[in-house]
Amino acid sequence: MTQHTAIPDIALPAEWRDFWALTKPGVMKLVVFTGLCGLLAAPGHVNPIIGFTAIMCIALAAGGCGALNQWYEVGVDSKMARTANRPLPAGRMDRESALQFGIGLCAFAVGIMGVAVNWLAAGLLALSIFYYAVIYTMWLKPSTPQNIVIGGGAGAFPPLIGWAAVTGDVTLMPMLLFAIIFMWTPPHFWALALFMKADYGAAGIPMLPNVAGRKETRKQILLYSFVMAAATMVPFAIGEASLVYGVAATLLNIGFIALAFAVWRNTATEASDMQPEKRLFAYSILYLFALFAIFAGDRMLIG
Amino acid sequence: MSERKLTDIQQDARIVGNLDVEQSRVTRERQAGRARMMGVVLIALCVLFFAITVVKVGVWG
Repeated sequence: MTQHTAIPDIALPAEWRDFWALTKPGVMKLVVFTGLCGLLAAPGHVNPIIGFTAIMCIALAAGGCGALNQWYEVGVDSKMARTANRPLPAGRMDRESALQFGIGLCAFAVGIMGVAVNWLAAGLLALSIFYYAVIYTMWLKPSTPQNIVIGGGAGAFPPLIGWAAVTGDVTLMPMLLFAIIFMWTPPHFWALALFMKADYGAAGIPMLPNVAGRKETRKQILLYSFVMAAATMVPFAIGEASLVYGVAATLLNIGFIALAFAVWRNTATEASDMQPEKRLFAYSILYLFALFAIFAGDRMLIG
Repeated sequence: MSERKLTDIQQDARIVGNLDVEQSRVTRERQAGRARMMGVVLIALCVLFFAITVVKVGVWG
């Protein structure tokens, strides 16, 4: 007997490029780079194959976290112009695929890190995934304007993991690298939140500019910039980095604080007039790349 | 139960049958693209796992 059951319309299968977009490749670059710098700066030697595997696991976990983030925030992403064209809000992929992809990547990354590298690095990787996907994405981000401050810890894990992959332990120095990224995150994201305020407001995310106002956010950016600059000088102050790093970090910090001052003095309310904020956001990415590259290079040269 | 359970292939055939020609072509293209990409990833992982094993076993000292 032939059945004539109506079949509902189905979405076409997603392209592999959509899965790639789920991993947030732009964010992954910075995560991989800081993880690599942690690995290179650590004392001791790691086989290049094992080192490559460690970095690959950090990248896979970051990609998995990106997928889990997009799976959870599909409603929010659809309300923001910046994120509306992502695979899920644009309807190019179903949520279940994104969830399975994210969990699969994260589980695979932790498992391989444990088996091939060491279980401390794998444990830190698992903790960073939990921190980003659950503590930051599901809890802090939608509920408090301090989301970026506390959630900054999620992005600060990679150098710690890279270091642990080489040494098998966690000492003061990798904790300092963690602290630098932790302090760098608020001014970086608040600069973005200032000129994307309307987007975040439409999505109902309580970013600092939407809750405390632009003036307070600009003041906080300046304050955190000073704290971050101080944190970057500690490796030099305690003799864990050479004068070359000390001079380079000072110059980079002068640039950062000068831009943060320009943001503090700006009173613009329209995104089109927020050139200082846009400059600080762009510079902050370059800053972190440069600072970690110089630190890693310095540590490799001084042994 | 009188209703026979459809196999995956039969279900796929019903789904494809519900698509127009252009949608079927796009579906096959995307599936082929994903299959190719998965093949590349699996080959790369095989090479990596072999290399990791060699390092762990200490064949090269």
